Amino acid sequence: MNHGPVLFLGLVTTLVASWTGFVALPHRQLGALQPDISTNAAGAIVAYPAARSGEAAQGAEVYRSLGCVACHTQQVRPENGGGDIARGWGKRRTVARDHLFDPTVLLGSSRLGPDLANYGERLGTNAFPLVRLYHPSSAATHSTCAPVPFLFEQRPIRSSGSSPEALVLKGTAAPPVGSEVVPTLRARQLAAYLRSLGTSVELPEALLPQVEDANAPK
Amino acid sequence: MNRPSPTTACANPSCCATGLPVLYLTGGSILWLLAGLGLALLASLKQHQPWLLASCEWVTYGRLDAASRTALVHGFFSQMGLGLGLWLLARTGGTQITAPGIVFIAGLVWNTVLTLGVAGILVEGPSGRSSLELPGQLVTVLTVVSTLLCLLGFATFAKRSEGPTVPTQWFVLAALLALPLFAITSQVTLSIFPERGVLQAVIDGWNGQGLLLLWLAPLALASLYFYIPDIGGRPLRSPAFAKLGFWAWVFFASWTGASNLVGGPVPAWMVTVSIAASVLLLIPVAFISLNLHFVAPVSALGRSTALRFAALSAISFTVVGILTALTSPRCAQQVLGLTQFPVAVRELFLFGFVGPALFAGYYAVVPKLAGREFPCRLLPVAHLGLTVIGLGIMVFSSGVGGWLQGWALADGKVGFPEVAAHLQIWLKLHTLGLAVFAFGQTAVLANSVWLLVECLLPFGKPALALFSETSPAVAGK
Repeated sequence: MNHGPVLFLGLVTTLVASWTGFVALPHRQLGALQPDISTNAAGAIVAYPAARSGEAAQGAEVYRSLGCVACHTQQVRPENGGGDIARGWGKRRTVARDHLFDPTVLLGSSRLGPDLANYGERLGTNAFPLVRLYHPSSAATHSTCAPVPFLFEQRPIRSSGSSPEALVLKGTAAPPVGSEVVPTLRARQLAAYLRSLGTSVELPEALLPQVEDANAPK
Repeated sequence: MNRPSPTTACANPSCCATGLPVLYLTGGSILWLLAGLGLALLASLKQHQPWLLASCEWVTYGRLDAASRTALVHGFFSQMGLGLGLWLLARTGGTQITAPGIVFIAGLVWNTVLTLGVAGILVEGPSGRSSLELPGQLVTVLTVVSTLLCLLGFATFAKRSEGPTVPTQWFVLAALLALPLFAITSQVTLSIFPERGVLQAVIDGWNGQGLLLLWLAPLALASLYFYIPDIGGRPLRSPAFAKLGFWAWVFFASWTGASNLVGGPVPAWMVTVSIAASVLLLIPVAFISLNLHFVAPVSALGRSTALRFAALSAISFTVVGILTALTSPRCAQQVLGLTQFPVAVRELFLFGFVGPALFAGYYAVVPKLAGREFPCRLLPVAHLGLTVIGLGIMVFSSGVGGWLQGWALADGKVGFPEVAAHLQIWLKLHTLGLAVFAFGQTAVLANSVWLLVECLLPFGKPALALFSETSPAVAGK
């Protein structure tokens, strides 16, 4: 230990081993991951996951730039590892393939807000409630989600009548009489992205729970 | 442990070139500490007051959180640690820092880039990689600058005087080797040729753990290994323990990369290895703790501010090591992961262990380099006291709050709004702790500015004569 070279070589070996374990080996294991190709019920060939397109892809940028990941995770942990699936945050655990085409993977590390891995699926066929972004606590009481009113424009109602896009706002959230609140492009992009979030597709490495379990005759 | 004679080649350090870059890096980093804590305080307020400054996009919670972590880790901890590490290499090697002018200029570039970067995070948003939130182009500059500084550190080590090397040198060297490896790898695999999918998260996690355990922790341990025996006036208990502790630390710390991805969409072997390494870190923690605790006599604590900070750091090191080992196993992480609990561990690690270790060095080095004592003797007492109280409240609130949050989340029948509502009180308590802690850090800024004014102004009163109670580290040499 009295010799610099011994110290130096020992440290380099240790660090390179760590680099091999956490950079080189994972790259070898996951670097060539491809989408899963399967045939759906209608007989069509589908690939999962597919890259987002249009407004949803741009919305991912809005999601990243606002730092939403500070409070929202996008990872459903396995059934035997926490209450995520019981809570209805997903039907199956999240796997590496789910994030294959995310330009920036935002798994998140804090759940000050709910997990969003399947947020779009939870909405069902409903439109994304933009009020949730403009005034979260009027959309969901007790919500501590930070409002993003800067993604909306408050403007006087035009003579041709109020815009079909105008938010329906009540109580303290409502704008002054004669004005309306409409979403900007970025708000629509963010909404499209949130709408696109969903992982309930069966993969060889992550099976969905058997459907007949729910309908099984008692 | 044998150590080369502490006398440096420079008879009057205040006038030699070694002093300026060290004073610049360490003193300047305190401004980053205050800036980072200010941003963190605003972020903490927004956790329970979502409508605060809501109309301003620059200060959304996510941006403030990323900006504060960047300012603290890359502004305060890294620069203070680097300045101190270079000084310790020169000091233990009986030599001077190589190319102090370049170190100084590199420090200037580092600060400029970081200022732009933190502004960039607030204006354009964080990168989404929690270990490196700065905009990509600026990271390139920062990588080049930090690699250059590490090379200058090696040059300083290479021209040390003959004799056995000491633990302080081993730890600084480990840090100087680790930083370029982590910086260059993350730069290449996340920015230049970005990896696809969750590989980003794996490398981000590895880089984050590396910055904490193989860059900041070794620098902090280098400071403790130097100043505890030096100020306490007694040798380390066992050179063999120091060796074992050092190699075990470097080895196990380098395999903890995926410990925050338990249950995540990454290969299971990676998480398992990281959990094992996190638990086995107890071995170096035990060796290092046995070496550092009870070395300095208790009576010396009363005489030296630096030693009091070193003691706080050594205690936090042991506690955070045990806490990590206990809460790393899969069964614990399934409940405590993704809650506020990891925040508590991280705060105890950074503000309880690394910060005080660096401040121990700061309080010992700066009077030496400036040629005079800190003007006020009460401010360091306030600094230490408020650090302990503030940190205590922060760690308690995040720890207990996160524990309760984790158990509530694990129970699928408790609605999420209810979980969030119950967490509110703990988030508010955390803000209080952070405010106390941040206020405490203004004490060291005030003392440093006061010292600077005294040094620069010819009519500044000679503090040395008025405050005769000097630390042995300064008085004895």
